Amino acid sequence: MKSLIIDKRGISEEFTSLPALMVVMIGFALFFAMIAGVYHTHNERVENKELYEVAHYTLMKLTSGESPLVSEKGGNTPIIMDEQVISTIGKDVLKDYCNPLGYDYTVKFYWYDEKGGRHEISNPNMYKSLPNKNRLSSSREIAIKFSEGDIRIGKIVVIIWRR
Amino acid sequence: MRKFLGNKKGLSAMQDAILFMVMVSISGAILLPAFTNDSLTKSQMEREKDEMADEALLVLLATTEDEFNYVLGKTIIEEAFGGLTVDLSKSKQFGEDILNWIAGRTEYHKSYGELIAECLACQIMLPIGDKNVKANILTKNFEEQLEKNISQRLKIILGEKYAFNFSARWYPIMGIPFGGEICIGSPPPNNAYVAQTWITIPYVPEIEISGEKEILTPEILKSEIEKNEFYKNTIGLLDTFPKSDEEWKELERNLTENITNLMYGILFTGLGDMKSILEIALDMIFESLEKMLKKTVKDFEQTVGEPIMGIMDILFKKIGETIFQQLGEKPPETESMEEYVEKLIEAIKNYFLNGVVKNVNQLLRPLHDSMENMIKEMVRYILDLIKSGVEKINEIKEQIFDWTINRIRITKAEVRLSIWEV
Repeated sequence: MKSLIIDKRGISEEFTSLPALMVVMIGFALFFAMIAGVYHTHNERVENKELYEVAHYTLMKLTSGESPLVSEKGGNTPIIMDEQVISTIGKDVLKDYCNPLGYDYTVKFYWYDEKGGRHEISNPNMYKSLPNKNRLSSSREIAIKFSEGDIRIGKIVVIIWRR
Repeated sequence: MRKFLGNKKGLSAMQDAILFMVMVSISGAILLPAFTNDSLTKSQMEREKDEMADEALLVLLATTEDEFNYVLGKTIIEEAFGGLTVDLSKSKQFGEDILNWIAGRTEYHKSYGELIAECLACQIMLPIGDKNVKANILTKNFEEQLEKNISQRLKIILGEKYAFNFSARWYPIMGIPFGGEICIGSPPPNNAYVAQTWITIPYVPEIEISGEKEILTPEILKSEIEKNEFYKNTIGLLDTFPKSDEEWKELERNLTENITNLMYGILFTGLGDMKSILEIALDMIFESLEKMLKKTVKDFEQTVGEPIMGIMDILFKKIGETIFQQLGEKPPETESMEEYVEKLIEAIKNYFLNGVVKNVNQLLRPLHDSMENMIKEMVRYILDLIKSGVEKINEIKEQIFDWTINRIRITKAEVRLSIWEV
């Protein structure tokens, strides 16, 4: 045993496999980088899709016949929202009606004048500040009733984010 | 070369490198669609565009116009102005002011659904020759203004991203181009997103049965059809089973003729006590037109003094003269404006009833032919079913009745919006 430790002679090996190993490692690195990229993109897409689906679901629910925002709905008539209601409704009333689990949202309303100019209908009861990122919105055209016989083109926008 | 091929050094490294390069490339090729394929987003976008068409159409129909202005009988009045000693139409602004003062109408707070339905109901569109002619020339400006406004509204709703084609059709009998029609925008491409809905025509169709006015419901229409001779003939023809080819041909010819006459009666010539759809529509149109003109005259009398009213009388009568001239009648000699309006309306109504309705067979020959072809197709289909034993001859009576009834849509008009990306 001692003679083996003391013995300074050795066999010099040729490292011919080192370049191959380097190429293999580069290959693996590229492969994993690609997988990571794909996974990240896919993950981001799934999350956005999920967020969009929730936003769309919330939008459709808020514009359905039973919504507290909707004032008139008949067989073939579209959803008509009352300006008085949408400018005063509280977010708690909306949350009682539609509250997607793990998400929070706010609603904005706009109406268009005859020249196409967009005007916001403000509601002091809605959120004043929104998170800066990871939020998504979904919108649809609606009819907004300002008074009897005065129904204008409008838009409802639902902005949603993760809690 | 031999030396190079014989040299085995470094070959293992090259093999590994090639193998892994191939593996990485294959992985890349497999994973590439995950980077580029956007089918989820695409399907969401398709769904949104479909919803967009529905939303835009329904929002348009629900929204109201504060003041919708048009000029009644604009072309006729302009022609009358041209006949005056001082041609008012040459002084553009003054002429327009006078024109609006005399025949300008304003509809307040009406929804586009209502305006479209009114426009369709008063057009009296008839297929004459190769063209569809809108016989009610008084409301041409109404239609033009409405088309302009709808176009503006849809541009606001859809934005600049989409082009559109909007159409509204009121055909009291399906497939027969009689009634009313509006079409705005260029023809849609094959990949357009289409939304469709129905609106109600504003008139309540009334018929007189034994001197009593009744609302024409599907049940009344059904009972009136059942009483009609052409219907009885049609049903009677189906009591005996044909034995030879000639008898089959005879049955086909007779069925086609009777059903065509039945439909023709409903549409133009009337069924026994029941007035035709054309006459019902004309009654409703002229009733509202008479009310409208009388109200205009009354408004003038109240707002302007006697001297100006004298000038207005002259202008009114000048317009009336032009209309009477076009109808081929002599203007009445009466001092009362109210009476003049009544006579004018009566003359227009008679022109339609006598000129169009009574000569309907000559005027509307192409319409008759297209209706006959449509009915011939249906009769052939039904007779083929009987021949092949799929249907029994007695059961087919109900089908013919349903087919006839289902083709009558007096109070419903179809509205369609096609959108596509530009």
